[in-house]
Amino acid sequence: MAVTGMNFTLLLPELILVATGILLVLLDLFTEQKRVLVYAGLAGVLASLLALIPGFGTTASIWADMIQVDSLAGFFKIVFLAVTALALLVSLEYVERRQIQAGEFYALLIFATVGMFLMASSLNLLVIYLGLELVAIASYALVGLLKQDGRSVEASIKYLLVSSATSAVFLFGISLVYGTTGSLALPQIAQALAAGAASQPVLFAGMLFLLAGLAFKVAAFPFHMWAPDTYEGSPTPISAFLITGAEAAGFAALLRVFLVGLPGLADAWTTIFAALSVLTMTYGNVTAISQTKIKRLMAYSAIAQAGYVLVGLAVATGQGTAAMLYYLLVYAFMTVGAFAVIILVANSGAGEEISDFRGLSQRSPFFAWALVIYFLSLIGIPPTAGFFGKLNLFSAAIAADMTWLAVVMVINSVISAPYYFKVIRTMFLEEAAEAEPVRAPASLTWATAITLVVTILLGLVPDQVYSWVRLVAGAL
Amino acid sequence: MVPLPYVLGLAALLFSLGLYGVLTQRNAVRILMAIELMLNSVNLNLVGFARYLEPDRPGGQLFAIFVMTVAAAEVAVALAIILVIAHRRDDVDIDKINLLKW
Amino acid sequence: MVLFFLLGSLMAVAGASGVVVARKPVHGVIGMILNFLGLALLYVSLQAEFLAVVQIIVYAGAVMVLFLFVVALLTAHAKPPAMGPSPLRGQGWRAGLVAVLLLTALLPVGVVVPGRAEPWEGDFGGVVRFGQELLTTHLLAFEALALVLMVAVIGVVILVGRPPQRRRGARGEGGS
Repeated sequence: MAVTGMNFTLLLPELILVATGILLVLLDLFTEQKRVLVYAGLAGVLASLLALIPGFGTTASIWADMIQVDSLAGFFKIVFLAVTALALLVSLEYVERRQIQAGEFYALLIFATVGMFLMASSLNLLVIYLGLELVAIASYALVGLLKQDGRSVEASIKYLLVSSATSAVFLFGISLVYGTTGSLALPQIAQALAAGAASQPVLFAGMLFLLAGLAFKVAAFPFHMWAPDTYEGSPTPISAFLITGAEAAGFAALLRVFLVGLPGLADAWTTIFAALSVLTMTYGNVTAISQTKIKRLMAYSAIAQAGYVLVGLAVATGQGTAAMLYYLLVYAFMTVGAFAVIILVANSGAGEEISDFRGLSQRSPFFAWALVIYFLSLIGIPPTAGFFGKLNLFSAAIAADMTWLAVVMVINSVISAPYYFKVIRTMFLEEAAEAEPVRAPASLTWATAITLVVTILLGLVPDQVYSWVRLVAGAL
Repeated sequence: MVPLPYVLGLAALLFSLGLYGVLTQRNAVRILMAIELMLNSVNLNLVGFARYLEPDRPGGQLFAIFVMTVAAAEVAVALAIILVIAHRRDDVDIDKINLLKW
Repeated sequence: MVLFFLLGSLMAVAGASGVVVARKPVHGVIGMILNFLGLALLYVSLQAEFLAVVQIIVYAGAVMVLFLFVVALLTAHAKPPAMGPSPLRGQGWRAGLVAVLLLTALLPVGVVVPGRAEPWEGDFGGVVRFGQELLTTHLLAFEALALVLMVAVIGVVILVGRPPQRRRGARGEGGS
C-alpha cells in the first residue's frame, strides 16, 4: 500500500520550517553569538515564504487528503510567516536582556508556526487537532520561560490547564461528529449532513462542543478567562505572537470547521456566533477601560478585537469571510507593531505600566507616533488600515441583514476610544520622570517601520488587497 | 456484544465526572488528573463509534492513539511547569497562585 | 465480553469518582490507575486489543509514573501540604450543575444514533491493520505527532533545565 499524494513540493513550506527549527536547536550548541540564530530563523521563514509560490493558485489535497493546499491556506500561511518574522525581530533584544535560552526559544517559536500551518491547511479534524496541540504545547513552554518571574510560570500553568481542558471538550465534539457522520474529513462530514444527518441531536451536541473548544482558543467571551493572565505573564514577544498568530490560527480552524464541515447547521451556529461576538467585544472594551497595565490593556483589547472578527462568522457569507481575513491581516501588523513599542519601553528600564509611557513623545518621538497610529488603527479611525477592516465587517453585517450587529460594532468602537487615548495622552501630555532619549535597537526599529508601513498602506490602498482577499474567501 | 448506547452513556458519565473534577479541584496536579479522565472518555467514545461504523472508515481507533500520545506529551510539560512552581514555593494550590488575577 | 464491559465500566467509574473525591493526592492517583485499567478492559470488550495494550503501557505505565513521581516529590516535604479538595465555596454546586446538565444532555444522545445497531465482523483491533493505516493514510498525522513529542521534549528541557547565566566557567559542574 502506498501513500496517495505524497507531494513534497507542496509540503515544502512546512518542511523548511521544521528543518529550520531543528537547525536552530543544533546551532545554539555551537555559537555564543545568539543573534546568528535570529538571522537563521528569519532566513528559514523567508525560504518558507518562497516555497509557498508553487502552491499559489492551485487547489490540491495531498498526503491522503490530510493537507489541503488552497488559497485560504496560502493566505493564512503568509500571515503566520509575517507574524513569526516580526516576533523573531522583536525578540532579539528581549531574549538577550532576559537571558532566555535562545536556541530553544526561537525553535519553539518556529515549531508553533508549523502547528498554525497545520491548523489552517487541513480539512481533517485529526490534523487540525494535532496542529492545535503543537501550537499549544510550544506555547506552554514559551509562556513559562521567564522562570525568575513568578507571573510567567503561573501564566503558563493556568494557560496549560485551561487549554488542555478545552482541548478535551473539542475532542469530545470531534468524537460525536465522527460517530454521527462516520468521517473525520470535513468535506465528507458536510456530505453526510446534506444527506440528512443534520437533524440528529448528537451532531448538534458535537457542534456545540467543537464551538466551545475553538471559542476558547480565540478567547471569545465566556471562554476568555485565561487570556489576560496569559498575555500579561508571558514574555512580551510571546504575548504578541500568541495574540496575533495563535488567534488567527484559531479563526482559520473555525472557518474550516464551520464553513466547510458544518454548513448544514449554519442556522444554529450563526446565531451563537452573533451572540458571542456581541458579548466578546462589549466585555473586552468595557473591561479594558479600567486597566493600568499596558499588557493587560492589550489583552482585553485583543478580546474585543476577536469579537469584531467573530462578526464575519456570524454573517456566514463570502463577504463576511473576506472581511474577517482582511481584519486578521491588518490586526496582525498593528498589534505586533504596538507590542514592539511596549518592548522598547520595557527594555529601556521602565516597567509595563501605562504610566511608564509618560513623556515618550520627547524620549522617542518616532515610536510614540508609531504607537499613536497603531492605536488609531485599533480604534478604527480613517485613513488607517483598521478603519477599512472594520468598514468591511460593518458592510458585511449590513449586507446580511444584521444591522443591529453593525450598530453594536460602531458603539463598541466608540467605547474603545477612551482607553487607547488614555495611553496616547500619557505619552504626549505627561512629563517623563527621566527625559533622556530611549536607545532603540535596530531590530525594533525595523519591526516598527515594517508594521507601520503596512498599517498605513493597507489604509491608503485597501482595494487591491481586499480584492485578493475576496478571491481567497471565494475559494473556501 | 455491548450495544453502542451503553458505551456512549458510560463515556458521557466519565466525561462529566472529569469536567466536574476540573471545575472543583484547586490543585494543579489534580486538575490535570481530571483532564486525563476527560481525554479517556473521549477515547472510549471514539473506539465505541469506530466499532460500529463501517470497516472502510477507519480513524476512530487511530485517533485514540493520537489522543493518548498527545496527552502524554502534555502531561510531561505540565508536570515540568508544576515542578518549576514547586521549586519557587512549596505548594501548587491554584488558589495561592494569585500574582495574576484569575 | 459483556462481563468485561461490566467489570471495566465499574472500575472506570469507581476510579473516576476516586480522582474527584479523594482527600489525599496519592489516593487520587490510585483512582486514576483504576480508571485506566478499567478503560483497558472496556477496549478489550470492544475488541480493540491493541489499543488496550497501548492504554496499559502508555497510561498505566508512563503517565502514571510521571504523576506518582511528582506527587511523591511534592509531598516529600516536612509535612504533607494540604492538597485535599478545597472548601467548596459555592463553586462545587455550580460545577455539579454543569456536569449534571451535560450528562442529562448527553445520555439520551447515545440512544438515538441511528443505523449503527450492529458492529461489523472481522479484524478490528489487530496490530497489522493498525500499522498499515498509521503509516499510509495517516502518515502525515503520524509525523506531526512526532513533532508534537519533540516540541514537548524541548519544552521540558527548557523549563526544568539549567539556567544559562551559570554557563560561564561551570562546564564541569553542569547537570541537575
